[in-house]
This record gives sequence, structure tokens and C-alpha cells, in this order.
Amino acid sequence: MSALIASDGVSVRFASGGGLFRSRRFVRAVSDISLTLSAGETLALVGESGSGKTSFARALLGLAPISAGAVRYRGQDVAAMSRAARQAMRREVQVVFQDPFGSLDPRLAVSDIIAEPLRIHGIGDRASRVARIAALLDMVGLPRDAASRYPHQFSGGQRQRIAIARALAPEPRVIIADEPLSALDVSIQSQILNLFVELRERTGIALFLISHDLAAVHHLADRVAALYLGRIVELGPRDAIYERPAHPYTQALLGSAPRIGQGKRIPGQALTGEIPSPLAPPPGCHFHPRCKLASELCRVEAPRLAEVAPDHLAACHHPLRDHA
Amino acid sequence: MIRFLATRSLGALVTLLVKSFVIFALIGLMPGDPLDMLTQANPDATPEDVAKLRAIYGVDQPIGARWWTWLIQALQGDFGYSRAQHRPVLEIILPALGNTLILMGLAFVISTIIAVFLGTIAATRRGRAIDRVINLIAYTGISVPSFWLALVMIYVFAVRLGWLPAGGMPQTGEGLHGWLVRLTLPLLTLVMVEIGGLTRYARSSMLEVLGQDYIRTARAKGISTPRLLFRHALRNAMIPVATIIALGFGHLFSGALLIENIFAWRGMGRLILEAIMGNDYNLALVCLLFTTAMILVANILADLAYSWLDPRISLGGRRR
Amino acid sequence: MTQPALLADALTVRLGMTDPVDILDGISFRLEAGRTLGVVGESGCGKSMTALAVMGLVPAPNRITGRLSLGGADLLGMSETALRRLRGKRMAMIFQEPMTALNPVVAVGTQIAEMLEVHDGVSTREARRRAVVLLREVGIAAAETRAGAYPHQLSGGMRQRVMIAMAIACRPALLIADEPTTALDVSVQAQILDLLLELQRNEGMAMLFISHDLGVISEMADDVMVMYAGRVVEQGRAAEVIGAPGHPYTKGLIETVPDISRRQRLLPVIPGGVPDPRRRGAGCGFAPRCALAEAVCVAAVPPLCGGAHRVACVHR
Repeated sequence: MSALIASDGVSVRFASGGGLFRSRRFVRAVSDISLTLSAGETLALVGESGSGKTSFARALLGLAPISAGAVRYRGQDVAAMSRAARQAMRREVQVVFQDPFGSLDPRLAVSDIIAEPLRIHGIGDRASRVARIAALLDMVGLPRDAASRYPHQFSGGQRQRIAIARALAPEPRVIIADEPLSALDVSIQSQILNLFVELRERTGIALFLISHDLAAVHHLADRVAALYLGRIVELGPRDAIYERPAHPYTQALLGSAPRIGQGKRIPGQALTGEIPSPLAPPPGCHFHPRCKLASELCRVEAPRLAEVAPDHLAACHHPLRDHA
Repeated sequence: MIRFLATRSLGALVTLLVKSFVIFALIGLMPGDPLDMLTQANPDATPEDVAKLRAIYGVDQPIGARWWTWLIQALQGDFGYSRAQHRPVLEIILPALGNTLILMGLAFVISTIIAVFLGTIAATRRGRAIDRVINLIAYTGISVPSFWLALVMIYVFAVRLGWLPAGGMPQTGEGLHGWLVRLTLPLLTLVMVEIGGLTRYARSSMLEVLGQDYIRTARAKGISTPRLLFRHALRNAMIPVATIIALGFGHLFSGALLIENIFAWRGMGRLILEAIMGNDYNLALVCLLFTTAMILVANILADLAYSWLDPRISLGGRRR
Repeated sequence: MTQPALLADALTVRLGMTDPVDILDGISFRLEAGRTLGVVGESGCGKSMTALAVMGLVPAPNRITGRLSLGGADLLGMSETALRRLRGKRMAMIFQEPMTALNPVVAVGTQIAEMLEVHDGVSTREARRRAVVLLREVGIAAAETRAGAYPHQLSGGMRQRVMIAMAIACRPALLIADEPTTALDVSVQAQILDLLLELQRNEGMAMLFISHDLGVISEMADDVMVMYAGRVVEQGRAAEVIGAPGHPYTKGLIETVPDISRRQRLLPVIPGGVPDPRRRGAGCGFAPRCALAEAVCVAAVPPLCGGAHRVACVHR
């Protein structure tokens, strides 16, 4: 399978604290991330706040400056692209955001919102656009008369459907979804999850999902990458990650998610400490202050991503072995 | 902090420098020569005498050179002479500055306290009768021109009721009583005009704060309403109000101009008017510069206060 | 028999004067000391309003009927002054968003100390000292220095710990936690949940734990109350309600959450959305979305029936 989007050693950093008499400091939001997303595949990026997942998504979209590495779309370096090429890429790579209330312009009618990408990329004429909007509304499970209404007349889940319809309008190859479910009610989340599954089957679209919700990721993803303080700590097929996590952080993350029907929780198993500030990341392996398996090596040397099983990589000096 | 003060002071000095040139040029562009009045008063002056006088006073030089000469002298502490009053400019300005600061300072403090008080009451009793009354007072204050109000005050309290003098400075020997009596009317006028806008801002700021989550938390803690208002709400509500006050400094100084003239209060406002009308070049220039300097200092102090009120704001103006 | 820590009987909260809405309709529950009652439901079900009703913080104008008592003391009949004395001292509440729930311009130590000054009449100095002890108790390292920090200087997890310290400062008999971990990362959530359990065990507090997250409720609650559109649809022991749910909504909710141990292409879904409390029909609030709905469901509100495990459904 060819890679649609490939990030090759991408780093993103932000300047902080500059001024007339002060020297600038840099915050490494994202360090050396290499990932590929192939056609029709769903790749999930899992991480907590401060992990850099949103910064990475922005870098992929060209919305954040890349300080190292490159993002390649269908083989071409995005930074070196001509204007026309970049515009074509924008048509093929669409986004769905987290906040269904903020991502839709309250002054535009739904038909205008969905038609906007068509207008921007010069797709179709007026008549065909009307037809497309109706088809899209059907696809996302909204009534046809929604086209003439305004965002504030819809619930959060319905607005998210509008946002998805908008993303699907220019027939993209990739949708980047940044926490598309977290602002929704539980019973609505599953509706949207199902929608993604159905759309994926119907259009063969590739999905780059960013989420902290491990259950939702498990439901949708083919491959999963776990991020900690800007670095990938583990990358592999969904089942491998969930059933045989190799990195202590991934294991701890999976263990912290509360489960239904397992009885009252037993305190004492939680991961200790907090995510360090990106301004002062711990030396060596960023995770070592919180890791039970940390050794002297971990304090000194940052582990590189290495294969622990076919297609399954982990950045750890002491990856967890299989307990069959 | 040092860095902040250094940067801002540098900025202020540059502003003053530029402003001095602009004012200098503007005054120079005014019709009439500083010497015209002199020559008009003296019918015996011949064109040669006038030309000689021009050379002596340096009035025949281009604006840029004149400004530079003035600057060099000013930096050495010599701000020149007032043509009309025949005294060094500094000698005239400093007492006037004092008088303005007394009037302005008191007006500022009193109107802020009253406005915050009224705004808080209006916000906590929103929609009720007292809120409407306070809003009415506020709108009246905003709509009424200060000079009109001043004249009405004089008419009512000085002419009709004879309770207070119509204006003027306290005479020597009148003591504190003299000051209080003379200050009352101008102060009252200024305060009544100022509290209008300020009350509205205080009210809306307080309303917004009262709707915040941390106020709900404070209520959940069982804190009494007075304590809640004072310790939790007020400090947060004052933050935007502080900005408004800082912006209003300039307004306060210019408003002083009208009030001081009507009440014959010998302050900077009156001095500026006299100087400009009387073509008193030097005096006008230095007066305006002093006023500018005061506003710049006031803004720096406002920024310091701002960062003290809100720990999230660093002195650079950035969010921490 | 000792009085329960918290008792509600047919609690009804009506909001608004001109166009009144019954946000809560006939809520009854019983919470004993040392136990946790989990209140679960989605937006608009009234779970937060229940908490506000207990604390006496329901926004005016309102009309509250029924019975609500804290350790035997009637809360609905109390004056505002008496309620204020109870708030913070006998019953305390922690909220969802610790960033906005803490005063941004006051140091956290001072905010905690305030509880002690107001309720225990302690001197400022002593209160500050005790605040530092409390910070340590909730697991904040370098408590002395942290006490002088402002909320924006702390992480989300630490802010929530500060909120908890503030809430338990006067050792209340009842702690209400309204979505305390929803805004936190998963790993921090685990720490906070552990902390709450530990504190409850040490203090013997009763806890009213509100959440939309069934997993969290399942792990925290002894008893569960499921709410929908302002009414209780199911309540009982956590193991029973979650293990053998009786109400279609509860069943639907449990099945709709993706579970890592299950493999399904599509998740079972509850169609439609949460209703607007104003547009509630005469009958069961869940009927419009229920696959089992019949004429009798729409005609009248089904009552809560059962012994220890009560369900409001005719199809039980």
C-alpha cells in the first residue's frame, strides 16, 4: 500500500519568552515523528494533554511550522509544493475538529457551510452542488431540510455530522479527525463512531484519528501510535498494542481507563506523577521519572523506536515481554 | 520588572521627544509671530528693529533649528521664559501642576470608589428598581456636558443659594476650610460627569464576574455575600475597569481644562488655554509636554497596577 | 436507626416564573455515610441540578418541593443563613472544570485557608498552616511553595487536588463530586479517583458522585441512580444496575459504549438525542427513543418499582 501521507522525522517547536532583552527559548512540541498513513487505512494517534498530538496534526495540515523533517503527501514534500499542488492537497486532505460549536460559522446556513469547500476548489456548478449537498446530508444521517437551517438550531451531535458532511464534500482521500467525539454525549458518540465506520466502508477514505479515548480508538483504528511528550513511544497494529503493549506508558494508559462491570476500583494501581512540562522535559527517556522499570540507561539515553514484533515498534530500553 | 520599567521609560522619553517637535511645529504653524504682538503694541517699531528683534529671539530661523536650540536648553533645565508673565516657565507651571493634581487626584479617587460601589449594587440587584435608578444616574452622567453642569452648579449653589463661592483659588489665610469650600463645586462636577461611564463599566464587569464558575465555588464554600463580593468578585471585576481608568487619564486631564476655566481654578488646564490664546509660545509648549508626561507616567503605573491585580498577566503584557 | 447522610424524597425542582420547567421531577434516593451513590446520565438529565438542589444553589427563581435532608436536618425548610453555615462545613462540592472553578487572582493556599477561617473560626496564620497540611494530604508535592501558587500555574490534576483539599478542609459529612475527572487526562483521572476513594475511607464521608462516564461510575459507586430527562429511571446496587440493567435506557447506555474486549463492526445505538426538558411529553421521557415503546408508555409516567433494585419501566 502506498503511503498517502508520510511524516518523516517531523519536529515542531514553538518560541517562548522572547522580547527586547530576553533570549528566546524553544519548546519542542513534537520531536522526530515518522508515521505513514496509507490509502483506506485508519491510523490513530493516542496521547494525553501535552503529548503534542494537536501540534502534529497542525503540522500535517501545514498550519504549524516544521522545524525539522518533512511532511510528504503522495510522495511530494509539502513544503516544496507549488501553490497549485498545495491547493490540490487541501482538497484531498480534510479536517473534522473537536468543538462542534466552534467549528461551524454561526452566520452561514448549513448548505453554505457544506458547499464552502466545493466553492473554494471550484467543484461543480450551482445545480450539481445542490444535489451533492443533499447526497451528503443523506450520507451523514441528517434530514434534507437541514440545508436551509443554521448551526444553532442543531444539537452537538448533529453539528458534528454537518462538519463531517463538509469534510466529505470535496471527495477527499484523507480525513484528519482531531478529537471528534470528546464534546459529545455518550449515546451520540457511538452514533458518530458508527458513521465513521460506514463512511469508511463506502468511500474507502483514509482516516487519521487523534483521540485520548482508548475505547473509541480501539473501535476504529487499524494501527495505533502512542505519543508521550512529543515523541512516539509505541506504534503498531491495533490488536498488538491493546493486547500486548510493549511500552510501560502504553500499558499504564490502557490500565487507567475505567471499565464497566468490573466492580469497584482498587486504589494503588494508577500511574504516579504528572506529565512533565514540555519546557523542561526529563533527560534521556522522557517517561523515566514515572516508569517502574527505569534504569540508569533510561535517565541518560533516549531510546529509539525499535521493532519488538513484526510491524510493532516501541521506544524503550526495557520493552515489556509477552505474558502469554 | 526593571526591564519593564527601563523599556517603558525609554519609550516614554522617545514619545516626549517626538511630541515636543510636533507641538513646536504646530505652534509655529499658527498664524502670527510671537513678535507680532510685541511690535503691534509699540507703534514706533521700525521694520529694521523688528528684523533685529527677530534675529535676537531666533525667530527667523527654520523650525527644525529652533526646536533643536530649545531642546538643548531644556535638557539643561532651562525651559525658557513666559513671554506674558515675565517669569521662568517652570516657576509658573509647578504650582499649577500641584493644583491640577489635587483636583484631578481627588476626583479620580472619589469617582472610582463611588462608581465601583454603585456598579456592584446594580450588578447584584440586576433588573430590580435600584439597578434601574443607578443606570439612569449613569446615563445622565454620560450625556451631560461637563461645562453645562458646571454652570448649573454655579448657578444653583453660588448664585441662588449662596452656599459656596463661584470659583477661584483659596486665598492665603483661608486655610483648609478655604480649600474645602473652593474645591467642592469643581470636584462635584467632575465626579458627577466621571461616574457615569465608570459605573456602567463596573456594573457590566461585575455582572460578568458574578456569572463565573469560581463565584459558584465560593458560594458552595458557604462564604457570606459581603465577603464573596469583596474578596472574590471585586478583585476580578476591577481588572477590566483598571484598563478603562487608565485610558481615562487623558480624558481626565482634558476635562480639567473646561472645569478649571469655568471655576477659575489655577491649574494646568487653565494655564494651557491662557498660554495658547496669548501666544505664549514657551509656556504652551512646556505645559503640553508636562501633561503628556503625566499621562505617560499614569499609563505606566496603570500597567504595573494591572499586572499586580491579575497574576496571570506578566509585565510584558503577555499571559503567563 | 441512624439518619442517612443524605435523603431525598419526591424532590422536584421547577425553574423559572414565566415559563416554568420541571428540571427535576420526583427524585428519591438515600445515601448512607461511607458509601458512594453514583448518579449517571447524559446532558440535560438533571444530575448537576440534583447536586445544586442539595447545596441550595439552584438559580432563582425556582420552586422546590419534596423532602431533602442532610443527616436528618431538613434542607428545604432552612434559611439561607443556616444553609450557608452548612455549605462547606457539613456538605461540600467539587466541580468539573478546576481551571474556572478556582479564583484566578487568589493563591490556592489562601483559597483553602478561607474555608477554615470562615467555618472553623481559625486565625489566618493557623488556617494557612493547615492549608499546607491539606495540600500534602491530597498528594501535592512541595506543598509549602505550592500554597502560594496561582491556579494558572498548576496543572489540571493539581488544580483538582486543590479543589478537593478545599472541599474536605472542614471534614464534611457529604462530598458531592460533579464530573470531577471529565476534564482530566486518563492517567490523572485514575489518580484523582484513587484519592477520592482513599479520602472517603479515611473520613467516612458519604459521596454523591456524578458522571456521564459509566466506566467511572462502575468503579466508584456502591449504589447507582440512572437519570433521564429529569427523572430517575433506575436505581439500586451498582453491581445489579450495571450487571443486570432493567431499564432499556440503562441497557442501551451500557451497550453503546465501545468496549475493548468486544469486537463489533457497528455499535448498538440509542437513536435520536437527549430531549429538551421543555418538550417532555406526558408519559415516559425515554419513549420517543425506545424500541419497546407502547401506547401505555406514552400515556403515563411509569413509576419506579421494585425492592432494592428499582426500575421505572413497564417492560421490566
